[in-house]
Amino acid sequence: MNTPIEIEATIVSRPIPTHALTYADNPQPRCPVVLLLDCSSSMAGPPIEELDRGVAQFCRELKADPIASRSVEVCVIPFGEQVCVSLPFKTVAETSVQGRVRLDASGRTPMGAAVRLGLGEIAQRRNFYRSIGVSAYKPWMVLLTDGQPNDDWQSAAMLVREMAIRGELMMVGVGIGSEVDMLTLARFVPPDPGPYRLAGLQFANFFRWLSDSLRVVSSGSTIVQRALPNPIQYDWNL
Amino acid sequence: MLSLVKNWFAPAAQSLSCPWPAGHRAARASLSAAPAGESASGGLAEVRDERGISKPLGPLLARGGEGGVYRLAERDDVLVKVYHPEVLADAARRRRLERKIGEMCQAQELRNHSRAAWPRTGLLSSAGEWCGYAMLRKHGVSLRELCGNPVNLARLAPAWHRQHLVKLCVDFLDTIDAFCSKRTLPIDFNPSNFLVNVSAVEVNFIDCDGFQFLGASVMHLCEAVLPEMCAPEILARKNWREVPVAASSLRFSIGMMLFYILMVGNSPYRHRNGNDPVENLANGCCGLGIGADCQLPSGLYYTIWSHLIFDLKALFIRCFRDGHGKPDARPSVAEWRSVLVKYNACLRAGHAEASIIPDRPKSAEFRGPV
Repeated sequence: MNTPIEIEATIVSRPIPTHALTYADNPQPRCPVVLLLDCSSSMAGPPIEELDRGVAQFCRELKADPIASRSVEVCVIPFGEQVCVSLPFKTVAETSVQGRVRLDASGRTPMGAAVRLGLGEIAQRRNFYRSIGVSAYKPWMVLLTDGQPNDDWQSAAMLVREMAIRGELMMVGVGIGSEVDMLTLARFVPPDPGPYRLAGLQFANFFRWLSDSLRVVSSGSTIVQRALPNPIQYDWNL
Repeated sequence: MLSLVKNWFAPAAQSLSCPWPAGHRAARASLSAAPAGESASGGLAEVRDERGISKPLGPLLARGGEGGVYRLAERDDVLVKVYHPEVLADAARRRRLERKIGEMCQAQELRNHSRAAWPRTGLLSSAGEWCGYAMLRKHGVSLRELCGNPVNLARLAPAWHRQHLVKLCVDFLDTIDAFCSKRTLPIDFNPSNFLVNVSAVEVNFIDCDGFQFLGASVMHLCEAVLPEMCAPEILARKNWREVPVAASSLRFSIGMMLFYILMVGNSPYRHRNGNDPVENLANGCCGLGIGADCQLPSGLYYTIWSHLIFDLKALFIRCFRDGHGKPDARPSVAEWRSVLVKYNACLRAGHAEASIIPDRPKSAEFRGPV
């Protein structure tokens, strides 16, 4: 007969000091996600507003998931007038994005520079994970654009595409509106599944698919990726 | 078999009612929660029982690598797992699954196990083809959500202290032992495959179709594992799906799971010099040690480790350092249990720190009884 374990009612213990926990005290594997957002002048008006709302919704939805919110780390890189990191990597639980991320549309479409900056951020972040000894899922790069690149983009496209084909990166390319150059966008993403085209301004449905996909990823293995939700069921892909 | 099917779907009998209070949080987390955008049934409105009678499906609750889990519209306490079309399209795999589930459904001792969502009856698609099985719904919060990080544990079980974690570990060991005694081995130690009843401090096993199971004529193997919890010899073997998992490999995974619970989501292969714990596991780079031999990262991880009793540390070191390359060195279920009982006694006597996260590492000058 095995000895049963009885819980001592009188035992005194400190509550878990959640306020004092550091980044490295969270042992969950991390999933870095870079959002490359076209903020060129052609996105002005409803497109940039819907995109802005979509990103904020994405953060809110992931925040509501107790596992994904401490696993998925988001970095936002708008590209237009300039290319910069507007939201550096943080777990979604730590982000303070509420209603909007405040994107502005102006300038041209330096997509190549954005991809290079995104890859650099991912590389740095992965080194950081290794330094503190936490595992990481395959990084994600999500590129949303309504036009065509007008900087030195070819080498960046080839690099990111090859990384995706080798399975080192999950690359998602989404074309917005009727003016997007889908053939050029296809050169940034692996042939299977190729680039997607957003139906109208269905950013909300796209970001719901993205957050659901990341919930699937963050509840599984860092080595073996599970099947992701089918975009068709989310009604955002033409 | 037919009679089992008949009884199984009868909504009124409720002979297999849920042992926990209504409204207790239910989760089905071996599979991730169903995406919000997915239609109620993901395109699937019904299944048929083995007599061909239609059973309307409720909402899709979760989806995983192998299939989706739905509620049965007419019975809240029954879930059905429907394998993905791509899984069923592989004819050999479908035959294997159908045969395994069929034999599992007939294993009388196991199908009534109170802690397992054991397959109860096979199911057919509307086209009349075998597509999955029905099981009793188990309740609780997934171990991944509960113990995956300290913040979640504080939120979901604010009253817990170390004794609760020890009790959970012992309950886990006893349940494993009960399965093993019937030559059935849970192999996929994904923390999402265990649902914890927080108030009773008990663990339920779900996704039982992944168990290695000795049927009437053949050993049915496990086809999915979480590599992060696997013994290195399984990780190194390309054909692991075709070879029965040895008890020594299971002992490694048991150690990983106990460590995960007691160390609140941590891996024994986190190391002071960094690197990915999964790579460290494959390479045998384990930071566990006592005194100067310890290569664990400083901070919370080290603080918790320092307060475990000596015998428990020694067992973990044996499992993950010595046992990495020597499967025979890995502790047995009885050894784990014995040391956990001792740890519990120390906690009761106040000889070990009861807080799940102590405020500072145990002093090197500590000369107490453990």
